[in-house]
Amino acid sequence: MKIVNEVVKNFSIIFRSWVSLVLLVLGPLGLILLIGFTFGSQDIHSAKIGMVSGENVIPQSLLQNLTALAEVRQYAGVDECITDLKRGELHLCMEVSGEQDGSSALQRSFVKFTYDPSRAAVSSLLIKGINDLVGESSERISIESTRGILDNIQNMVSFLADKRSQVDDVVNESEQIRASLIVRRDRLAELDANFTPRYAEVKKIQQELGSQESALNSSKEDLDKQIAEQRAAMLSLRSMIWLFPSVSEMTGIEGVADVIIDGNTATITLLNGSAVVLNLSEQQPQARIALLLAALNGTLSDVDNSSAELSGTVDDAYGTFASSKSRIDAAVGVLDILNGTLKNEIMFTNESIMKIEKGVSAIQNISADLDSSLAQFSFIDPSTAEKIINPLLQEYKEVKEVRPIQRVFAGLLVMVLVFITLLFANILTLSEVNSAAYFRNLIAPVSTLLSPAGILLTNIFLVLFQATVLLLIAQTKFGIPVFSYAIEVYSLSLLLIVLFSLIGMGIAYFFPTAQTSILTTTFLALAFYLFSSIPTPLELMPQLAAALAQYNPVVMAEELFRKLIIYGVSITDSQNLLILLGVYIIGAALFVLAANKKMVDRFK
Amino acid sequence: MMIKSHPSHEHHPAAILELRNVRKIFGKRSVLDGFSLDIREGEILGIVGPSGCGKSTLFKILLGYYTPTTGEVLYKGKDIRRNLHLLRRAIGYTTQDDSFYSKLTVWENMRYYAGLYSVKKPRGELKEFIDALLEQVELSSAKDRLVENISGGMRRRLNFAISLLHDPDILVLDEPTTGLDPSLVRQFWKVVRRVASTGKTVIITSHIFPEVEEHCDRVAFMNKGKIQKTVDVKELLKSKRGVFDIFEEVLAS
Repeated sequence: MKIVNEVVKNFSIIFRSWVSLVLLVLGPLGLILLIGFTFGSQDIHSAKIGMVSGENVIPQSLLQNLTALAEVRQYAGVDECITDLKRGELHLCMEVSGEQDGSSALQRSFVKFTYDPSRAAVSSLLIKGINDLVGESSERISIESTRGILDNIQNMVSFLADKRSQVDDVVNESEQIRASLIVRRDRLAELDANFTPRYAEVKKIQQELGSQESALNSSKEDLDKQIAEQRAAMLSLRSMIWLFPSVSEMTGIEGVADVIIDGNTATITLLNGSAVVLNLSEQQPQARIALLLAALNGTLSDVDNSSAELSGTVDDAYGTFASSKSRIDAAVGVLDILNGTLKNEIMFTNESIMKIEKGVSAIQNISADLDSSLAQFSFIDPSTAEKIINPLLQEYKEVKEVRPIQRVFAGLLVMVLVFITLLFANILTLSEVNSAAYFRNLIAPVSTLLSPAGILLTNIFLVLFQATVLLLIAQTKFGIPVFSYAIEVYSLSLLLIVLFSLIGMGIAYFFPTAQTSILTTTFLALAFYLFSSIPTPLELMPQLAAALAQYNPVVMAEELFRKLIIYGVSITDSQNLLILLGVYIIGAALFVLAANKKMVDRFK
Repeated sequence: MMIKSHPSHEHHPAAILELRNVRKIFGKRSVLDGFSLDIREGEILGIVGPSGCGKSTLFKILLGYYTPTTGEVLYKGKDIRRNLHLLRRAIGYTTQDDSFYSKLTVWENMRYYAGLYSVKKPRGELKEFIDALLEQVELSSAKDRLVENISGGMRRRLNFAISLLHDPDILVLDEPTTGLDPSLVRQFWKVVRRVASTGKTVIITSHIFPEVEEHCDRVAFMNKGKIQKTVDVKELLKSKRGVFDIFEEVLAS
C-alpha cells in the first residue's frame, strides 16, 4: 500500500499546479493531437505544375485531369519553368512535345517531367498521381484512337465501294464520247478531203489575179503617163493658138462657139446655136488662119476631152478589177480560216480521243488499285500500333542531381539550430534567473534589459559556433557548398537564432522553474518540428493544417535554406518570408520584455 | 585605496538617507505603515524586529527596488524616485544568502561586478584594486578558486567584498552572520568594523542582539510595519539595559 501512497502523493502534486497539469498531461496530449492534425491526410493539395507545351500538343483529357490534381501554370519556355521550380513556386515542370503524323487520332505526345528532388515526398506522390492520370489518358486516347481508325476504315470502305461503281459509269461514258469523237473526226477528214483541192484551186486563181493586177497596174501607169503628156502637149499648142487673133476679130462674127473645117468650108457655130458657113478660100489669110486655128483648137479640145474620157474609162475599169480582186481576196481569207479551223478541229478531236483513251486507261488502273486496296488494309503498320497502344511517352528528370544528405540538410540545419537555440537560450536564462546573483544584478545601477541582452548575445555566439561546426562538416564531409552562400546562410541562421533565443528566453522568464521551463521548451521545439514541412510536406497535411503550418518559422527557414543551398536561390528572393521572420522576432522580443518584467517583479 | 577618514559620531552628522512618512501597501495589505527615519552619514545603524515586521520591504525601498506607496526617501536630500541610479551607485548590499555566481572564481565574480557597477579604472589598476579589496576581506588566497568550492565564511566575505567594489557610501547588510560559526562571525565583524572606520554608513539587520550591541551606533526597533523606537547603543548600555529589553518592550507595545 505504500506504493499506492506514493502514487497518490505524486498525483496530488501534479494536479496541484496548473503548469504541471498542462505540461505533464495536456502537453503530451496536445502533441498527440498535433500529430493527428498534421498527419491526418493522405491527399496531396496545393500542388503546382508548370507546363511547357506547344498548342494542341497536350491531350485535352490529360490537361483536364491534371487541373483536378494540381494548379497548372502555362510557361512559354522550359527555363522560366525550371527557375520557378528552383524558387519553390512549382513542384514539377512538364515539358510536353508532340509528334504529328497528319492523323489527329494517331498523335503521340512526349512528356518530360522535371522535379525537385529536395521535395521528393511531394514530387514522388505528384508523379505517381500524374502517372495514374497519364495511364488513364493513354488508355482513353488509345480507345479513342482505335475507335477513330475503325470508323475511318469503315467510312473509307463504303466510300471506295461507292466510288468504284461511279468509276465504271465514268469509263462507259468516256467510251461513248470517244466513239462519237471518232465519227466526228472521220466526217471532218472527209470534208477536208473535199475542201482541200478546191481551196487550192481558188488559191491559184487568187495568185493569178495577183499577177494580172501587177501587170494591169503597170499598164495603167504607162497609159496615164502618156495621156498626161499628150494633154500637156495639146494644152501647150492651144496656148500658142490663143496668141493669134480670134475668129471674131478676123471675121467680125460675134458669139463664135465652135469652128469646123471641112475641106474648104468652115462652119462656124454660134453661141446662140445658129451656124455660119464660110468659104475658106474666100477669106482673108488672117481670117483663114484664125478659122483654121479655131478649128484646130476645137479639134484639140475634142482630143483632150477624149483623152480625159479615156483616162476615166481606164480608171473605172481598173477600179472594177481591183474591187473584184479584193472581194476574191476576202473570200480566200474566209477560206483560209475555214481551212485552218477544219485542220484544228481534226487535230483537237484527235487529241480529245487520245486523252479520253489515256484517262480511261488511268481510271481503269485506279479501279484495279482500289480493288486491291479494298482487299487489304496494310496501312496499319507496327509503329501505328505502338502509337495506339502507348500514345504518351514519359521521361523523368531531377531538376538537379542532389544526394540524399543534401535533400535533408536544410531541414537538419534548421532543426539543429532550433533545438540548440531554444534549449541553450532557455537553460542560460534559467541559470541566470535562478542564480544567487540575480537579485544583486537587479539592484545594480544598470537597465533590467542588460541581462536579457547579454544572454541573447551569448546564445547567438554559442549557437553560431555550433552552426559553424555543422556547416564545416556539411562542406567538407558531405560536400554541400554551404560556404558558397556563407553570407546568406549566416544571415538566415542569425535571424533564426535570434528568434528562437528570444522564445527560449521568454519561456525561461515566464516559467523560471527549471523542469517546467525545459519541459515547455522541449514540447515547443517538438511542436515546431512536428508541425513543419520536415517530417511531412505541407502539401500532404490537411489543408487547414498546411495553411497554418506555412507560417511556422521552421517551415519558412527550411524553405529558404533549401532553395539557397541546393539551387542557389537568394533568400532576398523571398522577401515576404524575411519580413515575416522579422515580425516574429519583434513579437518574440516583446514576449521577452513582458516575461522579463514579470520575472523582475517576482521579487516585489 | 578607498579607506576614508573616520567622521565624528559625536556630533550627529547630517542624514545621508531620510525616510519621510513611508508607507508601502501590497493590494489591501499595508506592510509599511507610515514612518520616518533619518540615517546618519558614517553611523552603523542596526534594525531589529520580529519576522514579518517589514524589514525586507524597508530594505528593498532603501535599495530602490520598491517605490513607496506614499511618502518619500531622500538620498543626500534628493528624492530617490527621480535619482534611482544615484542611489544604486551609492549603496552596497550584502544579502544574507550568496549573491554571486558559484561557477565563477572569486576573482572572476569581482571582475564581473566591477564591470556591472562601472568601476572605471585602467586595466592594470583594476586588477590591483580588486586584489587589494580581496586582501582587505582576507580572500586573496582563494581568489582563483571556484566559488562553489570555498567555505561559507569566505562566501560571506566575498558577498561583502562585492558590495564594496563600487566604493558605496552606504552598506546594507541583511543578517550577514546568520548561520556562521562564532569564529567566522568574529572575522566578519572585524572586516565590517574596518570598513566602517573609513566613514561608510552601515545599515544592518540581525537577530543576534549581542553583536548589535557590540557593533552598532544606533538601533531602530521595528514592529507592525513601523519604526517603533530608535536608541543610541552607548546610552542604552549606560542605562544598564540591552537591546533585547527594548525589543521586548516594542513587541509588548
